[in-house]
Amino acid sequence: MHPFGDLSAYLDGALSPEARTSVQAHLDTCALCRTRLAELRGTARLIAALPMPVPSRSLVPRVSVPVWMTALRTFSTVASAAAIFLFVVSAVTSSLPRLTSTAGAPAAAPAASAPNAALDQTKGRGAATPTPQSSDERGKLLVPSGASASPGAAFSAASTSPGLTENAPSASDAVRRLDVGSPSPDTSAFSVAERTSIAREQAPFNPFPWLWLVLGVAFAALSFILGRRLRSA
Amino acid sequence: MLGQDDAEDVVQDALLSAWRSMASFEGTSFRAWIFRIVTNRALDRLRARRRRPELPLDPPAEDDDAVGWAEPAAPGPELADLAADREALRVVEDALAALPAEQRAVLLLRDVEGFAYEEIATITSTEIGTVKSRIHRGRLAVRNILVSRGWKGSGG
Repeated sequence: MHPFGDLSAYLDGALSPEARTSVQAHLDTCALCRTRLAELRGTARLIAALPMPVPSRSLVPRVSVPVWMTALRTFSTVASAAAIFLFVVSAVTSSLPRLTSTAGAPAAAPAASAPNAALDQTKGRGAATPTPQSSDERGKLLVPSGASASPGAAFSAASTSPGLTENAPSASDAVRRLDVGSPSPDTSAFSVAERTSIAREQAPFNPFPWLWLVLGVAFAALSFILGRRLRSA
Repeated sequence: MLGQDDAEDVVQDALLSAWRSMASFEGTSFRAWIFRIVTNRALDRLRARRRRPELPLDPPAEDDDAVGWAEPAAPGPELADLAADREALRVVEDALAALPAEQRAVLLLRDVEGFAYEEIATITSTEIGTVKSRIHRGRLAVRNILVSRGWKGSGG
């Protein structure tokens, strides 16, 4: 009795131990069964050697991508992150000095200068002005501001540079003397001085906020282009 | 046997549904789980293709040895090393295509994918005895076709 039905399972090692030993014992004595077993083994090998069908299209969306592609993708991510970071940095650096200056000066300056000009107008203390009655308010304002332009510059220089502290009293004295001599009150002179100092802070073009912004925009453009290319690839 | 397009559709469908029902995976072998889904989808597709779906895919149960072992035909020319030939693989493909779908599925799961009988029983939701019988009958059928083409046997 040949155990033909068990030969495949024997080949696959799927028989119970006792069935296995009995088939083994039979194989030792039966040449026909050894031939059959060899044929089945060859058949199984042939089936295993079948060429794997290659899918004509991608069934799983991009399981494996080239190395340069992943590197590029990482770089694109880093570039977009850098763009965001640089944009924030540029926003902070460009708004920080303006915030500190606007906190004190412009809030105080218009409030101080405008009422004083109005006071000048109402009190009619236009003795030093060439045309007391006929000149308008703008002309009156221009005269004290032109007169105190140089003391204002001196004041701002004294306040910003600590090395000039020794000159500071004399400069402020000069301001006071000029203010005493001039008909305009002290507050308006100070407001003008403050205005010039503000103008001095803003006047020199600071390239750094713009540098950050330009870098940020450049990185954003780079990541955008890379992302589009990667998506289309 | 499914064509290339159908096969790709089936695989894509199966992977999609596997992805969706990922939470329901609770076995030990993820590979077996995926193959179970893919195999079921492929067999469903084949059944839907059938003109007479009431016919079972398997032939009626019969004694394994009733198929019989065909004797070699008159040896063809130079077929001794058929195994090394591309022709042999084409013959095997034809033989597999002629098999009932569930025998073929089980045979491929065993010989190509290397699953154990227990795993195949899980994948195909059948008894292990059925797996054993299907593998044997499928292999025997392929062997018979090979032998009828002059294959000498153990050469591979």
